Amino acid sequence: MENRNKYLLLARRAREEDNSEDAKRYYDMVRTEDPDNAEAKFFYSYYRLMDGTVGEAGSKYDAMCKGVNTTISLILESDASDEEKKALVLAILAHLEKARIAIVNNAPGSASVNIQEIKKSIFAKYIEAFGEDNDIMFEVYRFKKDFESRSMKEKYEFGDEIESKFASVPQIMALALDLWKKCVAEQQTYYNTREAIECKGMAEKYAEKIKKYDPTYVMPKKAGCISFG
Amino acid sequence: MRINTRKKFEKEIDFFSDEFQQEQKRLETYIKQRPLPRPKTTKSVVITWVLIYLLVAFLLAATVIYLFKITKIQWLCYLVSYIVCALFFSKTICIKAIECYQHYAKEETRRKCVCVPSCSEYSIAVLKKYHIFKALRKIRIRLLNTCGGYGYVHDEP
Repeated sequence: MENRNKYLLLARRAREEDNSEDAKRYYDMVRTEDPDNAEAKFFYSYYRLMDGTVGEAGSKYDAMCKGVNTTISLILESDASDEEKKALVLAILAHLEKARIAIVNNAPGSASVNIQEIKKSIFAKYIEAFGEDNDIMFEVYRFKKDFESRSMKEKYEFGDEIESKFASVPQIMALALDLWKKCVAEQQTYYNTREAIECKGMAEKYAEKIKKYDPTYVMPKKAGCISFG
Repeated sequence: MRINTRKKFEKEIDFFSDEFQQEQKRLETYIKQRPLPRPKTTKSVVITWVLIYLLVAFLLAATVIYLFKITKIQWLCYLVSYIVCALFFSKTICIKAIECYQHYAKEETRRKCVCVPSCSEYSIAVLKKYHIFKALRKIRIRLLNTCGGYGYVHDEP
């Protein structure tokens, strides 16, 4: 038990320092000491996936994702402090996202698991256990921003929704700003399309809004050789 | 992807389709890094060609007036001569003027173009391929309708 705690501490430190080699080694040691340790199971499979070849990435990713729900349940049921549990769940969410990006960039189409459903279930479990705190709401809104497809107008309105609830939380507000910036840039590039015409005048309005939060922001000019504005 | 820009909205753009997004990314990457040719055509070359045109037109009119001993409607001879010479020299002068733009224009200005090939390259190609009126019409459509408003467009002449 003493060894397990020592290795777990070292593994967490290595993970926080982005030292994947040491983190993998220490999590493996934790697994040897305590084969049922949920944290070690997840992070070991994560580092195994990141170290592995492209050919087997899809199957490793699927295996890792399938075990996540159990891992989260075990973490929430453990006797660790609430702060520790929260940090661990958020770390798992962050690493799931890193793994997803790695798969999309290096082995697209190789994974079959539905990551969206898994993430939704993690959010639900976290909110049920700890309520809607800013950390999880940031993850929830980031998920909604990245995965739910919207028209240009809906994207502006989604940003408004974030602003109405979390204007005083810079971390979450950054999501709305990012979304608005992307929309304004999109509208200035595709201004002759039906979607952009439906949002006429919104680019200027939202550019002003962005400037309130980010005074250094400069609205992009309309694309094209002769754009008349 | 080709977009019919003359009939607006005839083709709806599906922003969420992977094909569209990938094509846009590919074109954007190319456009932001494409080499910008700088021809050696300077202002003096364009002025020389304009002067040649004026001189040739004047000499042609003067020759006609001298040969046919025209005294009453000399102004008409000059007018016809300048129009005929304009048709003859216009393509060359337009091409030289565009090359002059390519020589002097700032990189920032030239990178505003969102089409492949760029509007100036397209204009030169069109002027070489078609007669002057058709070329000018195509250039107008390219500048006012195609370039800008529909994202990054691949539009060969």
